[in-house]
Amino acid sequence: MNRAPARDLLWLYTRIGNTTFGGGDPTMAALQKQLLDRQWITPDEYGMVYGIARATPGTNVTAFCAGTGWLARGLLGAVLAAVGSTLLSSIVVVLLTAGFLFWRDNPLAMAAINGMLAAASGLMGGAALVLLSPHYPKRAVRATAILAFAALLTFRFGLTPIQVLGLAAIVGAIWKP
Amino acid sequence: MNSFVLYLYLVKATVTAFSGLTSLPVIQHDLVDVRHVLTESQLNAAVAAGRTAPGPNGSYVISVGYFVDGIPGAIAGYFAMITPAFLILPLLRYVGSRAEQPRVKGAIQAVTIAAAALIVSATLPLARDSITGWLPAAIAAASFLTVALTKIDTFWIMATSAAAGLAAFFLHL
Repeated sequence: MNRAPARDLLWLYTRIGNTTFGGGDPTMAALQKQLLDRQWITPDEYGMVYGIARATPGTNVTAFCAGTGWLARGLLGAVLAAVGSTLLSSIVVVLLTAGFLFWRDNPLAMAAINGMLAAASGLMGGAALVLLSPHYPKRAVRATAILAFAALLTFRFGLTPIQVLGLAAIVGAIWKP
Repeated sequence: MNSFVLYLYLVKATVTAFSGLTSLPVIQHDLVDVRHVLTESQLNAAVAAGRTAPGPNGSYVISVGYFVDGIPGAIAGYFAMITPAFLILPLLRYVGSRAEQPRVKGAIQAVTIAAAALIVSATLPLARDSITGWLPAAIAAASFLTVALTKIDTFWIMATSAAAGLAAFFLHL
């Protein structure tokens, strides 16, 4: 794995964290591609941080940024990632709070935001595919079984993400690759 | 309300929640019902502002802070939002040092696969809300293919999608 240069890391989290609409999941999906392409973390590390971020109190995506930043560049990386991914959007939140009614009723702003929300849903589908691809075709049976198990728990039984990830971890620990 | 006290109230809410908006009941109880420094309508506006802005939905606590104490309150809200995130570091340290053990490795791989299912489940409501016609559907499909097949920076996907939304607005599509 490559050690992330601090400036590049700050710039990446600032760009992605502050330009992705739709909450934490699209942001984590957008960061996945960038982090893996740069080889700052591995797909397994991405999955590990994703899972642990779900079990970390507070805002999952900020924990995710701190965790991946820490893997890429130690404590400095964690701070830069957490601050970089949130500072500008936080200023936007303050501005929106001050002039919320103006933005809500501004069709131009909503047109741009709606375009980005549509992109975010496609982006998340792509991110799921990228997470699965290392497991196919070599470990296809195990991967498909775990995927089906997680989907069943989520869609059929309505378990929370933490419960799904916890149960998947137990299955994975018992059914070793 | 003093900004530090406000920070303590907000961090109490964020540190006991496990996703963006699950801190809402605690904030509502403490700041609306008990301390009366925030109104219900301000809380609703804060949630809407947090969801409208880019970044995490949990950023509504910044808006709450702003309503209660202006800019110092917003700063208190910001720190309350990011403080719990650093709790991930000891958790990662603990798991990471055992990552090569077969059982831990198997568990991490399974979590990664399960994460894909969770991402899909999080995608569905967002897709339902955002894909309301042929153009958003085309944007979503192009975004999916770009992520899956190319190394194009995600920022450009979002920027191009915003431009497409604006173009559709001007062309009345």
